[in-house]
Amino acid sequence: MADRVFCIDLGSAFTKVALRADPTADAQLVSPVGASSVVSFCVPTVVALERRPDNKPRYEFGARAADMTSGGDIMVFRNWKKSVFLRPRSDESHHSPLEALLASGELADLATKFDVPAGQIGYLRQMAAAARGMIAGPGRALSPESQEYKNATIVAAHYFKWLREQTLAACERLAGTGLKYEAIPVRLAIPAFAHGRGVETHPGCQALLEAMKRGGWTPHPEQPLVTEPYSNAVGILTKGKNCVLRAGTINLGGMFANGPLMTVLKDNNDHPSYRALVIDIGAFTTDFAGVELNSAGQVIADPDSVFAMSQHSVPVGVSDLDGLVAAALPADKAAWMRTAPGYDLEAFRRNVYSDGKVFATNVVGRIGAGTEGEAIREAIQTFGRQVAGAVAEFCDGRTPASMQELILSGGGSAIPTVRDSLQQAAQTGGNTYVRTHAPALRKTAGGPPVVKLDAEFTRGGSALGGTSLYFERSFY
Amino acid sequence: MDVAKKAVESTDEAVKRALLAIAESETPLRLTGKGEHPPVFAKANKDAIAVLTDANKPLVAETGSGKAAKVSITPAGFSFIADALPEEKVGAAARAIAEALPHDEQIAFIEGVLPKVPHAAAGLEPLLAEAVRKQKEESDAKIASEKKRAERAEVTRAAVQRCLDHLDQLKAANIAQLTGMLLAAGGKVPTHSEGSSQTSSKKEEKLVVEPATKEDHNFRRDVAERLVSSWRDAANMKKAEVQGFLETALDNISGLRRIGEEGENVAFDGALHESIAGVFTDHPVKITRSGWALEEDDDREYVIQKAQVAK
Repeated sequence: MADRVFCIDLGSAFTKVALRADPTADAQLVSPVGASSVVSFCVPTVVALERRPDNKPRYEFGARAADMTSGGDIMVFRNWKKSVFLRPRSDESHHSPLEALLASGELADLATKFDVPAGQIGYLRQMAAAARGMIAGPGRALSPESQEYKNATIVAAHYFKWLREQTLAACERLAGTGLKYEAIPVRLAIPAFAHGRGVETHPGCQALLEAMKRGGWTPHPEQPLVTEPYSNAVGILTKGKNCVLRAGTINLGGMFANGPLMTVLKDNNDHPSYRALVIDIGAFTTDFAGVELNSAGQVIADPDSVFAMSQHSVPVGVSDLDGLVAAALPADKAAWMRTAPGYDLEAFRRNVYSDGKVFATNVVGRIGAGTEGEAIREAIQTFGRQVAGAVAEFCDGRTPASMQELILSGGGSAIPTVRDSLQQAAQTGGNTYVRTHAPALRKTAGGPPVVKLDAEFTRGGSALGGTSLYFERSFY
Repeated sequence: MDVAKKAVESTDEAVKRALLAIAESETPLRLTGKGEHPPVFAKANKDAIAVLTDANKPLVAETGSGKAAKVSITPAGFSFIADALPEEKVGAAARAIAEALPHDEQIAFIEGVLPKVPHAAAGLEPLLAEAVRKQKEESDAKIASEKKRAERAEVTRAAVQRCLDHLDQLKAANIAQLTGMLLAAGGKVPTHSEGSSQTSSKKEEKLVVEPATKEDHNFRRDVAERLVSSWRDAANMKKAEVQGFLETALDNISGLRRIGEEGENVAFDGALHESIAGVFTDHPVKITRSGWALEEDDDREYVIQKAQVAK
């Protein structure tokens, strides 16, 4: 049981941290120092390392490391989370005890304690690996994947330690509560594997939990992990609210605002099943998840115990839309898109993709006027069709649940053409939705109810949902 | 005194006749009905009475109540019948009206009447002389009062200044004592940039520019971004004059601050400086193009454009 909890949503590009300060407090996003200056609760998941032969290694994290570039004595680790989940098992069986010691987190901790530069430990590992390679012949040395995995786990521990310091410092700036923030446990939002089952034993999740502990965090005693789409759905559907009844038990009706999920839980004869379809269009990938509950006519007091998950990802994101648009433009304008700083590109996307306007530049003139505008609209439609095709494939063949909600998040869902395509594709196989949640969404005359998502829930839904009282077994 | 109503008499004529009767009467009259004073209208003439007592432009004013009620002519009523009054009675009638008026209205009435009814001058002259004397007295009193108020304000200001001087002395003595204690304990005196005074002045500035809503916040960012973007393009395209003009605007925007000056030697900070390969935190670098940051709430700032640096 935890009256209070942090949740870390460790994204590949940005990390978000949320806090539930007591059982009935609304979840809130924490804005640590070192977060991106663009969105105060998004911390770049980037670690930079300077390793000079004669000096102690130095680390830099978050916004300070985000734009650094590798070179010389400096290594920059981006998108390292995937390396933690790509642990190659084949190396394990070939490890000698010496290699296991050299690769262990304990040795890394001892090295830090005795000020042994990480570089020297790295050289030791390389020596051992080289020796084994010489003895055993080619193919027996530590694979590049293993090295990448080990680097990622070390980076993760340092990152979690820094993140904890920044988070606690940020909490101290919150309105005076007198809470001992350092004693609050944490839950980690991780990608869904194996339909949401077995995440606790997944090696990548275990490695992240271990790194978190080494970083000083105390994992939640009962449920230290939650899958991202599930916590995202809970965060968005509850809007971060936490409620208890007078008896001290969870008030699901209050938390879910008596929405469709509550209808299924209360009226399991007329509405025996529920599904939230979550579509998250990120910069590089689009993730789909079906968060499903089938009561089979039984009364369900603890929905968390019966929720099932299905997930799919396609490597298509807003960066692909940029590529399509650039290809449709003259060379000089395409070059501008490739080299424009982030704030110009964001303004371009907002004006051209979302508002359908022309974007004026000093360097290449107006982009999107006349035939260019038509070419851009065609590119957006092409992108919309690509993503919609994947959505339709995901939805096709699934028996519609009796109550369904559609949740569209991520930057791509703010583009009207894309959003319309997704909404249409989500209806494949006869699926209908009683409510749609999306950023910048407007209700159409005669259309189903809509819930407009603001930036906090569009980007921070998983972290907010991960702190929910919904996941506290002792309150049921 | 009764005013006999003619067989065919218009309302205007009845009004005029009533006003003349009031003006020429040596004793007080009432409008109508029985009372201590004789009525102007023996039989109530509703239309004429309505005109005489019209709230927007009353020609007569009633004073007293019940049986003691009586009427007098207002300045508007006098203007209505001034031409019709006999010369020997104009002065007395005008004076009677003027005497009943407050001081400032009295002068305005006399000034208005004299050009139109010169015959009234003899009757009004003593009144005007008295009014001028009273006005001068009032003016002198006001000047004296203002002088006294200014003297009191000066005394208060001087007292407040003395209090502030005392507080400054107290503060200086406290700082001197604390500095002495800090130095005695082996510490060093922080510079202004390390101290809290800069922070507090920053906060004061922020209070002025802090946007109230999310829309304000986004609009402020958007405007700053567009200006910085054009400034950066001007710099890259070597358009010094355009860059200079935009720089003037950017420098004067409240809450927007320049990151570094061209040619300045600084320690590399990834949060403020555009990275170049092989540069890490605190490495010495030189600014080759300034950056811009927008101060926001909670001591945060939005770095729009990082400063460009070189080794």
